[in-house]
Amino acid sequence: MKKIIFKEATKAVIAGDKEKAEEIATQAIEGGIPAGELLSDGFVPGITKIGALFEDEKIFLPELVMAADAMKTAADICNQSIPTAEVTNKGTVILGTVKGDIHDIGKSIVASFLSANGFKVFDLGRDVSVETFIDKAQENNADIIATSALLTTTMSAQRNLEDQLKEAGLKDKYKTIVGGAPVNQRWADQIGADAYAEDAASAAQKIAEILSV
Amino acid sequence: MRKGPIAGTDSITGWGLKAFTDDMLSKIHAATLDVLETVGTLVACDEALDILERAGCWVDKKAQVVKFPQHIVKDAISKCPEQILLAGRDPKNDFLAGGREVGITTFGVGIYMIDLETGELRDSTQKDMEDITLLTDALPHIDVLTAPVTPREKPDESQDLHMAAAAFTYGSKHYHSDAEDGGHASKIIEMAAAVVGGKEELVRRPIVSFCVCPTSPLQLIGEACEVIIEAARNRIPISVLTMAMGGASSPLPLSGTLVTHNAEVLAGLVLAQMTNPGTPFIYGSSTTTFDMRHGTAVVGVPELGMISAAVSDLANYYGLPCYVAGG
Repeated sequence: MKKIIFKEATKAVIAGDKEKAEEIATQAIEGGIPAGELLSDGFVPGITKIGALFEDEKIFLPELVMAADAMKTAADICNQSIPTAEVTNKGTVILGTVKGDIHDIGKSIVASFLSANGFKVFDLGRDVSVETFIDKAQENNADIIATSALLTTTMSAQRNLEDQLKEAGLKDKYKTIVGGAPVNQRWADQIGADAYAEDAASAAQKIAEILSV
Repeated sequence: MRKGPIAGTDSITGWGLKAFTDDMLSKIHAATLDVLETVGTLVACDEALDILERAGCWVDKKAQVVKFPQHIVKDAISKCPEQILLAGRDPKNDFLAGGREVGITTFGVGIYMIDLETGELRDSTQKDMEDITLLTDALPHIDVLTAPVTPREKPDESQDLHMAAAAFTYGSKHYHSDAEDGGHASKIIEMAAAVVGGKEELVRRPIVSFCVCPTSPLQLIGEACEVIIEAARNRIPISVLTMAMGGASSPLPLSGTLVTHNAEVLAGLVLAQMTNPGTPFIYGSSTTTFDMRHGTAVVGVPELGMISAAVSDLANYYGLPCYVAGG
């Protein structure tokens, strides 16, 4: 019985069916299935599969977004029934679009996909100063600071973040990941960011790699 | 004066392309007026908010949202000149924009170059900007130089100024410039004025024009507003060029994309005309559709051509010169 429910849960996320995912999560938990197990063996394989399908260019962006949405709904229900101390958190991510830049569509997709993948995400929105990134990271004991920039003129804020982290002696405390249209691996290497991600799926993968989770 | 062929018409057979009937254009226009009046746009610039409020727009200063009454939009459109001289530093390269005559320009603000010698992909440089300017000057079929590449080795804060310097030094055709903000626009105007012999002469023979992009959907950021205001005050031609991505930053249907696109351009138009009536205004578009598989803008798909044809009809409907992406 459990196996069938887990399979259904996986299917619901892959189909991007938010209502179905919600229904399965609610009923399964009422039926006494441990929420942690439901997540790890039911819903998570769904979102993992979606990430792989997107990477392989088998599915389109709206399908990725819908799956992330379904996953998030299911995960919220599961997490509510788990005592706070036991909620699995793969890592805390501070995320935002850099100062001077208001392009946030890609960043928001990354935010929802990361939280669907079990990361605790603080989305600071757009036009975020380097100081705010660092303050919020300190405040929330973050593991990762993720920055997005769409313009060549705002990319430099990603470098400023690296410089200020180094200056404040915090470079070892937080890992950084960069993204955005003009950004690439070479830029990440040049400024000393820990990783570069091309899209939402690879952001989740790269962050998991950095944190070895 | 440079001459070009007529848009969408085969000069020998007389067959032509028209994206819309007049009724369809009226419908797009009506939907746009509705969006501008009921939804409005974000205008993230206090000075622009003041100008628009004085002009009679409904301004929410706290939210920085402006709603545009229909009569003000119509009034602003009627203030735009139908033909705009895009002067070359050399008068034989003058280009008169407007009507249905088509000119060709480079497109720009690229950030990489495929190196001519090594074939490698690398950051673009000031030397590239200079070389492309020389090449543009030599190519007889190109009428106007649009800021082609950014000199990445220069400080981020001054790249547009270095580009303008190269364009004025190495080129004799009109320069359609990028400008980071109002201050930079002002500096570039001063550079151009120095070349032609003063600001008054620059109004008569503008060898430079500016291009700014709204941020879709429906947002004019502060820097864009500043450039529009600065250009308008100095009566330098200004293009407001929307780069909406249908399905990402604008509605998925092309008609819907065209409506929000149009609203963004007209919001910029109202700001320009309310700053200084009669400012030469160019209707711009690099709007396209979104690649849902790779999550990126695709500037070369059939939809881009369809939108560009539609935009040229819209601009013509308003009696404005237009600048569209060719893909």
